[in-house]
Amino acid sequence: MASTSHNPAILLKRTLSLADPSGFMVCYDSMAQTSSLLINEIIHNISGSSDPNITYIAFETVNKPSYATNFVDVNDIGFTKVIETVQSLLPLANQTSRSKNLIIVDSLNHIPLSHLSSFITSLVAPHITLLSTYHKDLLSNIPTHSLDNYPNAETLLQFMATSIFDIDPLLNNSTLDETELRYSLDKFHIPKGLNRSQFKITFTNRRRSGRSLIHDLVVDAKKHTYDLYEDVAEEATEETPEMLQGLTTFNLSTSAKQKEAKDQVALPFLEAQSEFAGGTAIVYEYEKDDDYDEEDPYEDPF
Amino acid sequence: MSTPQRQDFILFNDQSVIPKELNDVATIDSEQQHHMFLITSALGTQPYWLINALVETSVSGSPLSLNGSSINRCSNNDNTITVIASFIHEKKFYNTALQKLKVNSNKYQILDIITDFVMKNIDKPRDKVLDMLLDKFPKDTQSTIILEQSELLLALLKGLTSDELNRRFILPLMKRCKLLIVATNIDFFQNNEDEPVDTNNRDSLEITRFVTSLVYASLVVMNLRSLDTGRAKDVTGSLMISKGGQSNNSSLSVDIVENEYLYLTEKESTRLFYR
Amino acid sequence: MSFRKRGEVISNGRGTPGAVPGRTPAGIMSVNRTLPNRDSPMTPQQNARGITGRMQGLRVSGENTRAVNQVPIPSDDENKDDGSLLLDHPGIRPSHLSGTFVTSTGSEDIDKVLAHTGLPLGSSLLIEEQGTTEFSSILVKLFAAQGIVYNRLASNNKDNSSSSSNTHLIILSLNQGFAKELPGLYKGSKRDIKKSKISEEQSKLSVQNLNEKKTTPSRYKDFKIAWKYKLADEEKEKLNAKKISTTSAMNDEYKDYNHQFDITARLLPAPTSSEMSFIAPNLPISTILTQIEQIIKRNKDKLIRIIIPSFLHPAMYQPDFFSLSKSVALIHGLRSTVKTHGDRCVLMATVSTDVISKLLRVQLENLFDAILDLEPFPQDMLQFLERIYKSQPNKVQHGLLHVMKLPIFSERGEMQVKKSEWAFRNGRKRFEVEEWSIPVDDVESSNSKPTATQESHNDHDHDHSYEHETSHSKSGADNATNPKNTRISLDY
Repeated sequence: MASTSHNPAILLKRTLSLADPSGFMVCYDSMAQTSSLLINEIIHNISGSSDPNITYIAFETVNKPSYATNFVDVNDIGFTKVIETVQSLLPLANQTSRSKNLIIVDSLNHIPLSHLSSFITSLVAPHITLLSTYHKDLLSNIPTHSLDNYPNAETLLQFMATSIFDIDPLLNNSTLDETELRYSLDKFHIPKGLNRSQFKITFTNRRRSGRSLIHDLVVDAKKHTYDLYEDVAEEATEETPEMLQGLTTFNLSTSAKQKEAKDQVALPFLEAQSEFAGGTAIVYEYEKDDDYDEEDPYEDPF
Repeated sequence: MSTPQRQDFILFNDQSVIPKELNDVATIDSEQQHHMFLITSALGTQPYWLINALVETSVSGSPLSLNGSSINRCSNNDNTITVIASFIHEKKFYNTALQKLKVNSNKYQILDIITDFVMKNIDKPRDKVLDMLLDKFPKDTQSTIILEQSELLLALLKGLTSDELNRRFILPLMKRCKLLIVATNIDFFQNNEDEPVDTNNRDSLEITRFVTSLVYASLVVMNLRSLDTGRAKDVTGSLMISKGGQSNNSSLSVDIVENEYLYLTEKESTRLFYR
Repeated sequence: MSFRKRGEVISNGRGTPGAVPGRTPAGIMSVNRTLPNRDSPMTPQQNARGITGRMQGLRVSGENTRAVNQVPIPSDDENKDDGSLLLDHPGIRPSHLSGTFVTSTGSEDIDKVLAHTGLPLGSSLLIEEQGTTEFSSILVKLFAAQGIVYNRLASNNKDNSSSSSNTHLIILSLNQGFAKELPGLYKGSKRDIKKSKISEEQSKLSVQNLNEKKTTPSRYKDFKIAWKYKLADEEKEKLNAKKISTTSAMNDEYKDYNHQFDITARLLPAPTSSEMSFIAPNLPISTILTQIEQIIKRNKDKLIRIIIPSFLHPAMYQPDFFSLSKSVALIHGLRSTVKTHGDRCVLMATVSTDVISKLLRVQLENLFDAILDLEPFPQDMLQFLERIYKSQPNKVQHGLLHVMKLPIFSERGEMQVKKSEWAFRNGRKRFEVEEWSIPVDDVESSNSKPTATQESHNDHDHDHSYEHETSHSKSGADNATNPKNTRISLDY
């Protein structure tokens, strides 16, 4: 157990294949990078095992995913009947079946805060994994007064979850930085290059030992590989002529010849510096139009 | 700068706007797939021409008016119908436009949901109004529905929440057709520098939630906006094609071509080009 | 006995015998006055009459017939069918841009800014205003007054027709006094007014008559000004000859299309309930909409101008009206009404953007076809302008006019947001809009006062603050905007 904790990628792999019992997993996602690829990763990882039983509880999805054994459309049956329906679809706890039971909830945002905790506890069981999505950017409703001191949904889930995947887009090879991205999304100007097959997750894993491990990883949903995330953003890039291309209709780039010529220009202040040792001074000559104010410290040229 | 080259409007990497596969998948699979496209626009850049182009595509296979008549792709000869419903424009508005584009009028239907909407529905319970609205749409799962400014319902029906609107109108509507194209006005979110949405204001909250949920539900997002530098004589605005929340969930084998076009709308015709 | 009086008599269908003898002399008298100044004083009524027949004899005979047939309904049916009214209507003309029918807003310059020489029928105009000024109330009154003038043209024009009115106003307001506040037609210069006052004393009844008679010269002046504007514009566009001839022909054809008003005068007699209906905004939305619908139906074949002065003014609108489900619902309902009667109905509303939230503003803006935003200059900017235009005080603009939406073009997806391209100036006789450019301070730097202008737009490059007698440190930057004879036009 301890050895796996040293390799986050393996730990993630184990978690995604539901090898370690992890009752309640939450994916925090956003418009920029939705949880669907991560869920697909889990499906991919457990598809090898024998006959997984996957129940999909849909609040906002209308299309039944191909992997789902059962598809429960909440809007068809009403929220009150969801738990009942789902439980009827699940094998009983005492049945020692080898197959894995997974319940996917496509966003807990749609469950009223007052029902959220009971919804989760009524579904989580030792033989069942509850995998749910929570949209970080879907604002939560104004809570009623009776919930004044109750934690908000995000905190609540953070507290209850055994594994948390905080999903963010990988911005390394995009022209945007995080601030610009948030700025665009706030305006609902969805930029290009989001929801790619490579994305970043912040993976929080609560161990039975009571420890909690947090790792930043990069998931490649095409190759199904997991790597440690390395922050490469802070690399000072040197200006190259290519960077200036296509920015404006003006020609900002310099040819090799121009560059050479530019380098040869002796800048006046360099000359002044070389002679500095010889001693220079600012000579101020008082002219009749000058309005010299003795009191003004900023006007004193000396 | 010479006149930039006209570009074709495409959304998917099979050079299509509505891929053929989307129609086929809907028919072959026993589990019918439903898709949503989202158009977001603002005051200065209204989506009139884009909606027309999408109707045209839905009816005849490609946006002839936008791409120029040079490419004449095979038309969809199946008997699917395209339905247009707008909460902001009267029936005549789109009728005139589509007639001008010579779109086969047997293949589209424009619902009048604006005339006297307020007078008829102001005191009715919102569930009834939403059911009544829903019933106006044909129950043809092969149809394409274009819905303009459904977010107005949040204002028009007292107490309606985003969740309710989704649950009782948008999602059921999506299930009624193979493709739901929602056009929504995002003026409210523009020019909000340093001014995050006031989460204590229920109305702002609901409209933000609604637009967010549309982005999550859609396959493609088409954003129309004016240039950051202001008004220009030769550019009306930019059309950004980006992936929606369902782009990784779809069963389609074609991929979305993320792209940014500039466009110029003049004298009722629009041309796309690259920067 | 004045023309107005006569018109009233007829419209009320109460032709008293006493009116007949008094009428003929009055008619002759007025003709004597009118003819010499053919290209000057003329009442709108006279103008209107001029269309049908300028011959005085014809008119007199018309009067006589009318005096005999007090209620000449039958002839009405023969002459008119549904469509013809709007073609005959003095206040409706085709847009020179799109061919759709438009009606004047009462301000020629606003008509110009709207690009269609008016507001297209079936569309709605929102005037937004920032700050505490009340320029939008001027515009709304001009809009109303113009409607009344159209109506009165008809009552004097149609000699043998019962429909002595062609326009009806619906005002959504608690302020019944609105009717009494409408500006009168511009009577000409002060000297003209003095003259008219003398004759006013001679006969009380002729006030209106004389006042109106004086309007024509100004209208003609107007016409010339407009013509010159157009000429200049077209030179730029290199489309001269053709357009000028057509537009001037158009102007000739639609000479009763816009009128000039004097905001210090009053439209007399004040409009009556047959000319304008008031609806209280504190009624339930459905009642308001039903009443409007009824009024529109009752006033068949008339141009309907719906006006909402100071929408959401807290004094008139209860707090609950600020909820989206009320205000947006009302405007949405009105939009639907205006579109349903799209061939003869327009809507104009004004709102102060200070009292509404951004969300509400955006939602309202969404529902209008045309939006103009008035941004009055702050005090220091006005002082600056006054200093610059010391010798030409009538050149001082009062604020910026931002175009947010233009009818027809905006909904077709054209980008028509034009911020800081126009400036407005409200004078006694005219609400003027002209291209905005930062004025040049000729005082030069010999007088080292900073000369920057304040452009209160944050999204603007030319953002300088104007300071009175302030530090030298800023004057450098300020001088940047101050090269002599440079007009920095704000193309944003």
